[in-house]
Amino acid sequence: MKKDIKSIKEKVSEILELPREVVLNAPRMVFIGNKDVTIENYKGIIEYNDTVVRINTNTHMLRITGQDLEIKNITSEEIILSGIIYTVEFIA
Amino acid sequence: MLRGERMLLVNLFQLMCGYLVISVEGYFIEKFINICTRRQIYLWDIKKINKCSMRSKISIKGFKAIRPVAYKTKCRVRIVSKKGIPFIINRYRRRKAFFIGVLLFFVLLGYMTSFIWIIEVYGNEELSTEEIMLQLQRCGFKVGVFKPGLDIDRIENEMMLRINRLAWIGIQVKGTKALVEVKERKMPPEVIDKYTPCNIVAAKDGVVESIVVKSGEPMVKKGDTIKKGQLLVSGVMDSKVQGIRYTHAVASIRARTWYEKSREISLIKIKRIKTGEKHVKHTIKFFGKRINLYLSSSIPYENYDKMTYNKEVSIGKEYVLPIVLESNVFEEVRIEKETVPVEVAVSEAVKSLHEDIKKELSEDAEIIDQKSDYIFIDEKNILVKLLIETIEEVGIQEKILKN
Repeated sequence: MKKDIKSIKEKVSEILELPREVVLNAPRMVFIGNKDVTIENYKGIIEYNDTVVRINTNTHMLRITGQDLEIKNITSEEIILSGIIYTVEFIA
Repeated sequence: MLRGERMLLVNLFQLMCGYLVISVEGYFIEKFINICTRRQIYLWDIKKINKCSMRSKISIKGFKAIRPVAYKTKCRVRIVSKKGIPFIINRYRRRKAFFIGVLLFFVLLGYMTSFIWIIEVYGNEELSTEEIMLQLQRCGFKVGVFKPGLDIDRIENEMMLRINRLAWIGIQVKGTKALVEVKERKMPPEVIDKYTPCNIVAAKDGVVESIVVKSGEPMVKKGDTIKKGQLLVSGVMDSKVQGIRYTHAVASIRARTWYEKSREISLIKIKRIKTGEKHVKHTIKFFGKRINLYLSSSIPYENYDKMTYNKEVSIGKEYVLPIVLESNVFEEVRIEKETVPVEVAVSEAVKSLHEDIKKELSEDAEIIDQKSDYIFIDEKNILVKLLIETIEEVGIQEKILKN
C-alpha cells in the first residue's frame, strides 16, 4: 500500500513537472567535482568529523566519507560541505 | 554556481559586521550544531580539530545567543579571535584625537573639493582664452568659487550676452574642474543690400586680367594697372535717354597681384646637443604661493634647456586640489656651430616664406608664378626674397554716398 502511494506521488510529480525533491521530500544534493557538496532538505547532523559526516534526511541517512571535511555553511535549509569527498552512501 | 563571486561579497559583509572565531569543546558537538541551526544562530567554516573540539565562525549577534545552547549540550565555548570593523573601532574608542583627525580629514576634503580649482576653456578659435576667462570672472565664475552657490544657467546666459561672438557656451562642472566649451559664431561678412546702389573698388594693387560686369559701368579694362581703392565698376549710370541712374554694381574682376616677402637668415646653424646631464628642481605651488624644495637657486650648467612640468594633485581624475607640483628640469646642452650650404638655407627659407604668403592669400587666389632670389649681406648672412604672382578676385563693393 505504501509503495502504491509513493508511485502515485512520483507519477503526479512527473505529470505536473513539480520538483521531485519537494514531492518526494528527498534531499537534493549538488556536487562540484569531489570538492564541494550542497545538501538541501536535510534534517540534521548525526556525526561530524573531518573524515566522516553522517546527515539525517527524510528518506535516508547519508554517510559521506572523505578527507578534511569542513562545514562551510549551515542553515536550516541547506548545508555546504567542502573538502575531498570519497564516497556517499545512502543508508536506509 | 555563483558561490565564487558571492563569497567575496559575503566575506566583506561579515568583516563589516564583525565576527568571532570560537572553539567549542564537548562530546555532543553535532547536537550543538543542530540546535544552533534550529535557533537561527548562524555558524560557518566549521572545522573539527579533534574528536571533541571544533572551531567555527559566528556573528556577534549569534554569539550573544549561544550561552543556553552551550549549557544544554554541555559544551565549552571559547573565543579564539575577534575580527571585523566593529572590533577595530572599539579598540580606538578612547583615542579621541585620532577620531577628530579622521573627521577633520573628511570635512577638509569635502570642503576643498567643493570649490572650483581649474577652469579649462576649449573650442575657441579666434576668441582668446584670457578674454573668455575675464568675462567669466565678471560673471562671478572664477578659480576658487564655491560650487554649491553656483548658477550655471545664469552664467551661461550672461556670457552669451557679454560676448557677442559666442554661438554657444556650455559649462560642465566635473569635480573640482570646470570645463567651458565654447562655439564661436561665424560673423557674416557685411553684405550690401541688393537694392542699395554701390560701386566696386579695388581691394589690392594689380593688373586687371579679366572683367565681367553684370550691372554697372566698367571703368577699367583688361590690362589696366589698378591701385588699391581705385574705382573699377561705377554704380552711377549716365545715359542720354534716362539721365543719371544709380545701380547696385555687380561684377567679377580678377587681377594679377604680387606678393613679396623677404627674410634675413644666417648660414650658421646653432645645434644644441644634450649631454645627458640633468638637474631637477621641485616647487610646490599652493594657492599661487610657491614653496621651493631646493636650497640654492643656481644652475650648475653654462648652457641648458629648461623644461617645466606641472602636476596637479588630485583625487581620482576629477577632484583636483589647488596644489601643483612643479618640477623644472634643466638639461645641459653643448652648443655646436655648423655652416649650412647656401642652397639648403635658401630652399628652407623659401619654403617658410611661401607658407607665410599663403596665409595672406584669399581663398580663390591661384598662384601662377613664383620667383626666389638671395643676396649676401655679409659672409654669414643672406637675404632671401620670394615673389609670388597670383590671379585673384579684387573687387569689393562700396556704398555710393549720395549728396
